[in-house]
Amino acid sequence: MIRFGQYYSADSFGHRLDARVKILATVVLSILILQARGWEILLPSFSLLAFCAASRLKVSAVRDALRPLVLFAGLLFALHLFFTDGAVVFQAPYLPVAITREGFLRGLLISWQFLCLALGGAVLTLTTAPSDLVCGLEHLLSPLKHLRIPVQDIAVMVSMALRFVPLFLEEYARIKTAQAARGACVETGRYDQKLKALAALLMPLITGAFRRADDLAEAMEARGYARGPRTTLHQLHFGAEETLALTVLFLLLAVLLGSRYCT
Amino acid sequence: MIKIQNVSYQYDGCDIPALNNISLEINSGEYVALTGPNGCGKTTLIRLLNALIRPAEGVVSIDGLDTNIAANHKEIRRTVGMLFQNPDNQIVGMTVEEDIAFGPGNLNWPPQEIRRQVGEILKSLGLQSLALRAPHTLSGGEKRLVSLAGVLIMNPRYIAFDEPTAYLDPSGRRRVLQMMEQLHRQGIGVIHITHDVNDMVDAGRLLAMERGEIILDGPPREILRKIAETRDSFLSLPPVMELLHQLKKRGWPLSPDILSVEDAEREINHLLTSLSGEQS
Repeated sequence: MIRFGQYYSADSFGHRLDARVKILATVVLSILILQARGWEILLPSFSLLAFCAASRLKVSAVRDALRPLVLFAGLLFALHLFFTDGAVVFQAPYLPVAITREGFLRGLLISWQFLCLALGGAVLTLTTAPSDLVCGLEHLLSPLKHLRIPVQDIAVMVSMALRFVPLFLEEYARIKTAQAARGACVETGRYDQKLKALAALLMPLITGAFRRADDLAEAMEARGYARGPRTTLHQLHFGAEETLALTVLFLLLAVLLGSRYCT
Repeated sequence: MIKIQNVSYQYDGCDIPALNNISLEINSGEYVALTGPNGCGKTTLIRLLNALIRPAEGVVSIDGLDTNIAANHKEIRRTVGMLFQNPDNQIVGMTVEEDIAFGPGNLNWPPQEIRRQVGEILKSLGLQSLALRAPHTLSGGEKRLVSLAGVLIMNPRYIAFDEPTAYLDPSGRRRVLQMMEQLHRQGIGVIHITHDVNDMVDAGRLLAMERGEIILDGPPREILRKIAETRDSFLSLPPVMELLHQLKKRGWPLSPDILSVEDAEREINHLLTSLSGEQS
């Protein structure tokens, strides 16, 4: 299963907050993170950590979400460390490799930015149920309806895709076992054998998916689905907590913009 | 009332019609068991009732609404609920409560109303604890109940069940059958596709299909008795009925009207008392 930022339900400020606000906050914080130069990065970092605390996220959950990305962040750091021109602080003997002060700082900043962005995404998905996320996105994108973009249909499609991911993973595992039982070399065997086995695995998966899609379309139709406006269970709410969160968000934005352009 | 008049239907690319000149009436509140070998047209027949397919010939009308008129479709789909064979392909929502809200959402109910009704349905089916669960984490029986909840919330007058007990363990099976019986008592018309003769015994009416035609239609007791006598059918009898018929053939004085274990118990008791009466 995909472990990255899997939602777990809890009752906290962060979980209760309207999904629209959280999506907006993630976008604004991402911009702040990407825009940050030097110490400015601390501002969005601390905001994110504060939000984690306000959502009472378990340290282990955040750690698990970020763990697979640490390696990549390390790689980013190393790339900048070795390949940036500037004041040399360390020269490897006999090799054309040098570490510069600028490279060190730049690598630190960029890998930190990367981890912050990932943390932002993880916090969003950890505190927001997928269905709320889709609903929030649908509402935020609803102005696009005027451009004749079928936002609601897209929202239904996205939620359907999310619904069927675990089902396909199950089916994949089942077909793999069935093939292995008949002697396919899915996990063992030479490279070309594995490739062949993979093809034999994908075909039934794809045909199965089409059959499923057919059944699903019929079931949806049977329950009265048709293109066009429809309502959902979700009631969006905009109360004191949302106002507070948005105010904080805009203050952050103002501080950063102010420091950038007013000095 | 569901009225099917002289309906034929043929799938694209098939030489033989799936349904061949069928006429049928089903009253509201009836419990109909529908059986027949695979590919005989049972599923096609119930797909007609929900306007998923429209008859090429003939008329299907649901409480007076013609399924050939597109403007009637929303109301027809609210009136006739469908439960398909595989609940995995029927559950649309990412969570249980969201799936139940799918139908009402299509009917554009306001969110507060959907929330209230979803709560009620969850409570009446005892599913509250599952409200926020993802569908793939449920058991087979739970999935059936969730897809049933998604149909019930629209307040249908008829529900067609396509082999609702397939792949279920005995307890899940019992739960689903009890639920269907309860719906029938509440006045909802039930159409139950099944291969299991035990499911047909308690139905008010048994329909048997073969090659796109209805070959038997009547009370299950009569039909099964006829089959026990003629042996000319794809249907197999309930084991207890089979046993008592064999005994009857050997000259035991038994009534031919035995379908269930309870019937048999009564009959055997009766026989034993009369035998002990003769001896004394």
